Amino acid sequence: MALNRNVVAEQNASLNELVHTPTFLMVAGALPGLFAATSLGHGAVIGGVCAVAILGAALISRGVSCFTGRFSRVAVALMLNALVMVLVGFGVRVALPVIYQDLGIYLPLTCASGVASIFIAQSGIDALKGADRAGELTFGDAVLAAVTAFLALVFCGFFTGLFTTGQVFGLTVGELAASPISIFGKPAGSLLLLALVAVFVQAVCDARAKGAAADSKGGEA
Amino acid sequence: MPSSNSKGAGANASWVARHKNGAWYTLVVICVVAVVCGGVAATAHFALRDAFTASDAALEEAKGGAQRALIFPDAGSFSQVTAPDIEGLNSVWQADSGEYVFDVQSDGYHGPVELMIGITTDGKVAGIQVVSEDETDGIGSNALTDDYLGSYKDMAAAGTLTLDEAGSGETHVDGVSGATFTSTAVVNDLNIAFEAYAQLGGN
Repeated sequence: MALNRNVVAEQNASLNELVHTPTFLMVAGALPGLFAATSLGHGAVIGGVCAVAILGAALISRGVSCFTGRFSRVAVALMLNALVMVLVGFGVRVALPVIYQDLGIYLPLTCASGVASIFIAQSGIDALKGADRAGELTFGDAVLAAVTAFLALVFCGFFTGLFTTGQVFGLTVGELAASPISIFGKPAGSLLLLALVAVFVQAVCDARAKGAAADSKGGEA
Repeated sequence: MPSSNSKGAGANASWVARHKNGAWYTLVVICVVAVVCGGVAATAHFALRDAFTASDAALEEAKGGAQRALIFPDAGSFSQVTAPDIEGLNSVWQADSGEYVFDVQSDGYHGPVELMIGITTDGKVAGIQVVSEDETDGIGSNALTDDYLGSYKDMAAAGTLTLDEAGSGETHVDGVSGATFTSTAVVNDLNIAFEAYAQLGGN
């Protein structure tokens, strides 16, 4: 039984570490928007909405702890995030009505996904408070996740749109259809692009962690 | 729910810090935030109602533009012209090459059947696009298929069309069996477009 508890504790620790990363935020936030990123414009709008949702949730989660307690924090944060989603929807409807209608349910869905990813990351942090705070998610991490989620969705929209219009780099789809690159015009290709961006983000985080570790060792010496 | 007097908070902590885990404080905060969020959302919706109307109109225009381009794919641009006062005529657009597109509607079986009818400069039907309809699938919708609507292509946009026996100045056309109401709506829409075209100086 003690061994099982240790295994469970190790798994929980691994999961806690996983959800603290900007990579998790980016992937979880951007995933629902992949299907809606059917062109460069659609990708930019859904990516922008996802980024705003992630940043808004990160700011709100820091602000609400000033005046809310344990029992009101989640409810208040949910209401404030819902307000942000509603206002973002209003903005897109006024500025880009055609894209707003095309995106449909994916607009609030992507917002909710971005908010949920911040919730998961923050609740993990709350559980760690008083213990080891090394895995705390900073606002800079949220900014990195928001920017990379935006870029991932823009790339997905760009490639999907290119293959939909039938032209890329002067070649027609007919010529490329038999080549492996045509996968980037399909949903599987969008997942591949998201995975590539996730690898890039994780590499940045790892490099930052190594740099911080090297600085701390140099300071100790 | 714990009491309002938190034992964990120090003596120098603020009132909020001492009470924020309390039941009444929790209830009040949630209610206040709910009212504030609802109020802000409602105020924003009220303040933007004109903008929403304009964006809805822009959306309708964009959708209409796509359908006009399907009727006249070679046209560079369309401009809206003053529509004659004819019941059922929603709008008239003219391409830069002179063709007309009429947005018309008349009653079908389940409500209005709105069509976009293009007429060329030599007075012939160029094409018909369905804008909106609520006819019965598999029955009334049979009169809105590309095949049936395509049968009116190149028809002279003059006179009056009828599903009945043609009288003077009338041209008999065939409807779709079992879709009389919808076929009648299509014919009525065409007649509205023909009349508008005539008033604009056509046939």
